[in-house]
Amino acid sequence: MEKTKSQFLVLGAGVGGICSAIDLAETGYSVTLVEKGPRTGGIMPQLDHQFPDDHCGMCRMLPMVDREPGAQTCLKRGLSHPNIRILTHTTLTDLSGNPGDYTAVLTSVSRGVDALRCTRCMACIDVCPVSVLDAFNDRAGDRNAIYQPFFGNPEALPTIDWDNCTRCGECAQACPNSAIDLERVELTESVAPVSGVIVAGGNPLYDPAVTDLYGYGVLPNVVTATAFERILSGSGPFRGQPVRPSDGHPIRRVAWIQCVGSRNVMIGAGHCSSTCCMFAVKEALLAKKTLGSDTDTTIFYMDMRTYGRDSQRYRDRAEEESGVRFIRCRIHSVDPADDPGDLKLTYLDDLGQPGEATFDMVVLSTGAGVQKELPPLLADKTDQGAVVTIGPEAGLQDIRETVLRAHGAVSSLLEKLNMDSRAKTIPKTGRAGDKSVNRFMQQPVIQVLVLDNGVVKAPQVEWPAIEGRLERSPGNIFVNRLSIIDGKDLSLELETVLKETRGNRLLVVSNHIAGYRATLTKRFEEAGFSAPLVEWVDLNRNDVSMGTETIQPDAAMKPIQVALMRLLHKRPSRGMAQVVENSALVIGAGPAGLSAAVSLAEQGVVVHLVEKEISIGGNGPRIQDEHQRRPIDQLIVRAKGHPNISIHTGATLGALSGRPGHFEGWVVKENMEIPLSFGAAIIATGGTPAITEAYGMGKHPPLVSHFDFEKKVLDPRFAEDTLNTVVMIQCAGSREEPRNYCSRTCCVKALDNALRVRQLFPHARIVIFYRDIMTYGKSEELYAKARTRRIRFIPFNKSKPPVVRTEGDTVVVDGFDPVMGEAVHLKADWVSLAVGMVPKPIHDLCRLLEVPVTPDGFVHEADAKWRPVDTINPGVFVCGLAKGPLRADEAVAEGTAAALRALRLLNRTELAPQRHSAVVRHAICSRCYLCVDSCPYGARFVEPVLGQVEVDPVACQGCGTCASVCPNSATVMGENEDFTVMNVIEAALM
Amino acid sequence: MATREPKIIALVCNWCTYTAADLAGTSRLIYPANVRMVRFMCTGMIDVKYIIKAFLEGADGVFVGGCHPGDCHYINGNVKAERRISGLQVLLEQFGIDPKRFTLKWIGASEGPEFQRNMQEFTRTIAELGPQIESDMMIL
Repeated sequence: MEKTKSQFLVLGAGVGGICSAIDLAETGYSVTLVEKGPRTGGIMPQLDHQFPDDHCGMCRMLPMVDREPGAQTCLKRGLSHPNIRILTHTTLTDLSGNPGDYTAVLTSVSRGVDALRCTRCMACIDVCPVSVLDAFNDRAGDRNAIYQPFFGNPEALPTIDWDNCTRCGECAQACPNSAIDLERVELTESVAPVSGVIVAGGNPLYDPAVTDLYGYGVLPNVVTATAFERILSGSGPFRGQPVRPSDGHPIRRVAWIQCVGSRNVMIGAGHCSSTCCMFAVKEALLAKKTLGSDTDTTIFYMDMRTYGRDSQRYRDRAEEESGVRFIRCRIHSVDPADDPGDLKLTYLDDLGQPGEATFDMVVLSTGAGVQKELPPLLADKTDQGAVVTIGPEAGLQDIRETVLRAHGAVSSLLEKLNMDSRAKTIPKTGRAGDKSVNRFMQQPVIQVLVLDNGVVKAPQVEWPAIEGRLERSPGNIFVNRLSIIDGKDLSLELETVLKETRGNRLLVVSNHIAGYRATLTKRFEEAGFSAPLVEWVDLNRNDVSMGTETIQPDAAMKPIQVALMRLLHKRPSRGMAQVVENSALVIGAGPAGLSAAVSLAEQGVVVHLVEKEISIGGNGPRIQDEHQRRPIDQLIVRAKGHPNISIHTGATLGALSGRPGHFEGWVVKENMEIPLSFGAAIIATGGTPAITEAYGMGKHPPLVSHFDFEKKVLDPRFAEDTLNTVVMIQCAGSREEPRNYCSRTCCVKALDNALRVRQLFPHARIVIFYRDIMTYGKSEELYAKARTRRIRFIPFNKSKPPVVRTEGDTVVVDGFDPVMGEAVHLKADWVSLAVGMVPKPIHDLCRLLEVPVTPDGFVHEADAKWRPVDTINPGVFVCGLAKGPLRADEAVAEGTAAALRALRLLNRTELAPQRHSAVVRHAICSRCYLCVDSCPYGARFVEPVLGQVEVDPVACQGCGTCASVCPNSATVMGENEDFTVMNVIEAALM
Repeated sequence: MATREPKIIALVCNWCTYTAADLAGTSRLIYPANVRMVRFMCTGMIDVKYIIKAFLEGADGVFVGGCHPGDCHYINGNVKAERRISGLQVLLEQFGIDPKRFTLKWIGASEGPEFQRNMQEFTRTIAELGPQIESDMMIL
C-alpha cells in the first residue's frame, strides 16, 4: 500500500483521538481528525493538573523527534500538524467499501460565523441574550448561545450553539463585519480512499441530575468533580478566584463523595469508574493549593483505589503531609445545614461511630456514564480489522490508560492492514524543501507583505507611515501592500508578488489575518517559502491593539521590529542527518516483550529478542488460568516462527554505544559476544512475585503466597482434603514503605481464588482481610459476586493489621471486624498472603541505556500520563512489569504500545537535526562539561577520542538550558542563539 | 522632570505563560500597553545576560514568566531558571539596579487573569520606582 496516499480517519478528538492522530501522522500517514463537538481536546483543556504529580504536561504528547513541522504550542489552544486535517462540528454519515479502501462521507455543520470576515472582536458574544449552562465548565458557569470554544487561541472563531440559539439576530446586528449567518447549513464531503478508521468516541461522564442523587441540581453547592476543577481553574467561571456558587462566600470546607454513579447496582451501575479516587485526591490537594492549605478537605470513600504505580504514595502524602481527611463511609444523602448554603453530611467512621460534619461545598466524584453504542455503520466493520476502537470495553480510563490504548489501537490497525511503514518516505510537508533550503543559505532579503484588510472593520492602521519606517529599516527590505477585498483579488496580486520578489524571507503584516493564515501558509509553501521562512504580525491581536480602534505606528512597529529581527537571523539547521537502523532490540521475552517484538516484526522491523532465562514467555507459562494464558502461548509461537525475529535466550545485553536511531552493542551468551546494531531498544524485563517476611511468611507451612495458593486450589487433589477456614490477607508487605505501591493484580487473584474455593467447599469459611479492594473497571463485578457468595471481607488499617500466630500446630489469625464491631479469631487451614510483585533488578541495564529508575526499582517513564511507554532516552522504550505492576493482558497491550512508539522512530530512514537543536563551537568550549550535566534529555555526551562535547540532534529538544549554563557561550541554539536574542530584545525595547 | 511611560519587557515561555497571555487577550483582559513581550521556548534558556541586556537597552523593568514547577515542557528548565536567577537578584543591586525591577513568576496556561494581575502589579511597581536612570547603572 502506498503510504503517502494512505489516509486514516480518526473519529473523536479527545485525548485518545489526538494521540492516535499524532501517532499516525508521525508514522507518515495523513489523517483526518473528525470531531462532533466545537473543539478538539476532549477533557484535556478542562483540567489544569493531573495526578499523580499535580502537573500539567499535555504538550509532552507532541512529537519530540522531527518536531518542527508541527506547531509547538500548548495543546489547549488546539492541535496543529501538517499531516492532520481537523474537522470540528463534523460527523461520519457513511462508510462504504472494503478494508483498506473505504469511502467516507462526512457531514459538517456550519459554525454560523464566517472565518474570513470575523475579526474575533467578540461583540457578538457580548450582545447575545441567551444564557445557557456551560458544558465546558460542567454547568458551574454560564455562556451565551454564541461563544468561543477554544481558549487561549486568539485565532479561534466564535461558534453558534444551534440548539440554544433563538435566531434573535442580535449578534448579526452587532457584528461590524456581517460575518454572522443565522442559517444552520450542513455540508457533505466524501473522503476516499480511507485505509482505516480509529474510533475514539470517549466515555461520557455520569450525569447525577438523572437520578437526583445527593441533591445535585437542587442544592447549588453540590457540584461534580469536573465542575469543581473548573471552579478552581484560572480559566474557569471564577477566573482563578473561586467562591461558593450559591452566595459567593469563600470556600473553606469541601467534601468529596466517591462512587457517584458507580459501584451502585441500584441505579444499574455495577462497575468501578477507575479514575475517580485519584481524581478526588488530586482535587483535594488542588483545593488546598488554591484556597489555602488550611482548607478542610474530606474524602468519603468506599475503597481508595490507588492502583497506579505512584498513586499510593500520592494518597499517603495527601493524608500525612497535606492533611486531607479520608473517611471510609458511603454517604446516604446530602442535607442543607442551618446556615443557608451550607451542607450537612452524616457518616459512620472507621470504628462504626456516627459522625456529622458541615461543608461549604460537596463534590460528587462522578464516574463513567452510559457507554454510547457504536453506530451500526461502524459496528459492522470492526470485524474486518480496519475499524479499530480505543477500548470502550474497558470503561472510563485515566489519561495514561487512554494514551496507551491509543498507541495500541494504531499499532494493531497498521499491523492488520499489513503496512510496511519503512517502504515509503515521510512526506516533507512543512519541512524546508530544496528550494527553501537554498533560501536559508542566502543573505536575508525580506519581502514584507502588508495585507490591508479592507473587508472588515478591523483596527485602523496608518499603512504609509509603517511602510515608510519599514523601508528605512536597515537590511534588504522590500514592501508591497496588498488589499484584501475578496479572496480572488488577493490571490492574483499575491501570485505576482511571490513570483517576482527578490526576497528570501517573508514578513506578513496585517490588521486582520486570522482566517487567512491557513490558505496563505499553503500558498507560501507552494512558492517555496516554507513555514520557518515566514513571520506573521497580526496587529489585531489584543496585546498590540489593546482594544483600541486605531493602532499608532509606534505601537505597530514594536512587534514588526521583533519579527524582522527574527527573520534576519533565520538559518538552516546545522549538523549531519543521522541514519536510522530499521531494527530493534527487545530485552525480555515475557508477555510485554513478546507482544512488542511480534508487533514490530509484523511491520517489517528486524527484532533481536534477548531473554535472560533459557526459555521465552516470562511469567506467561506460570499463569494458571488457561483463558488468560492462551494469548501468551500464541505470542510465543508467533515469535518463534517469525522470520524478522531472532531470539537469544540465556543472554544479556553486555555493552552499548551509539545514539537513538543507531545503537551498537553486544549480547553476552555463554561467554560468547554477539555484536548487534539496532535503532531502538525496548525494555521489557518484567518482574517476579515479591519475597516478604510479613505475617511470618516462610515460618509456618499453612502460610503461602496467593500465587502458590492458586496453584494448590487448581490442583485436583485440593478438593479431596477437608477444609474449614481459609484466610486471605491482602497487601502483605506492600502499600507501605519501603514497597509503597499497589501491585494491582492481587485483589482480583484473591477473589478468583476465593470463588474457586467456594465452588469446591460450599460450607467453608472464607475471610479476606483487605485495606482497599482494587477491583477497578469491570473487575468490580467479581467483587460484587464474591460478596453474594458468603465470602467475608474485613477491612483493616495499615497501622492495625491482623495478627498471625500459632496455637500448637494450627495457625490462628486475629483481627477486628469494624462492620460487626467485634474481634475475630480464625483457626485457618490456609492463610494466603497477597505478596505483590517486584521488578527484576534492572539498575545495570538502565545505566547502560541511560534511563532513570524509580525508588522501587521500576523503569521511570518520560511522563506518567502523556508518554507512558517512552523513556527520557528517545531511543529507549519500556513496557510491562518493568515499568509498574499490571496484569498479563495489560502487559501485552503495553507491548504493542511500546512497539508503536519505537516504530515512530524506526520508520524514518534518517533523522535530520532541527533548526532549534544546540550546536557546540568546539574552539571556544573550555570542556567544563556543565552543559552535559544540565541537559534534561541526555542529549549531550563527551566524544571519547578528543574529549569534545557533542550533541545528539535527535535527543536535543532545543530547550536552551545548555546555552544558558555555558560560561563561554560556546553552545549555540540554532536560531535562538545569543546574537539573535540580544537583537530581538533590542528591537522589542526600541 | 519629564516623566515617561515605563518600559517593561516580559520574557515569557512559549508553553505556559505565552498561552496565558493569549488567554488574557482572548478574554479581553486589558493590561498596560507598555509591556513588550518576547517569547522564548523555555525560561531555562533565558540567560542572565539577556536580562542585563534588557536593562541596558532601556527597560525599566524585566518580567520573566514560565510554567509552574513540574509543568515545564522541557522537564525542569523553569527550576533551573529560578536557581540561576536567584543569583541575579544580588548582582542587580551591585549593578545599581533596584532588584524590584526584576521579577520571575510562574503563570500556567489557563491563568489568563493571573497574567493580567501580574502585569498590572509589576507595571505599578515599576511606575512607583520611576524610570531606571542610565547613569545609575554600573555596567560598563
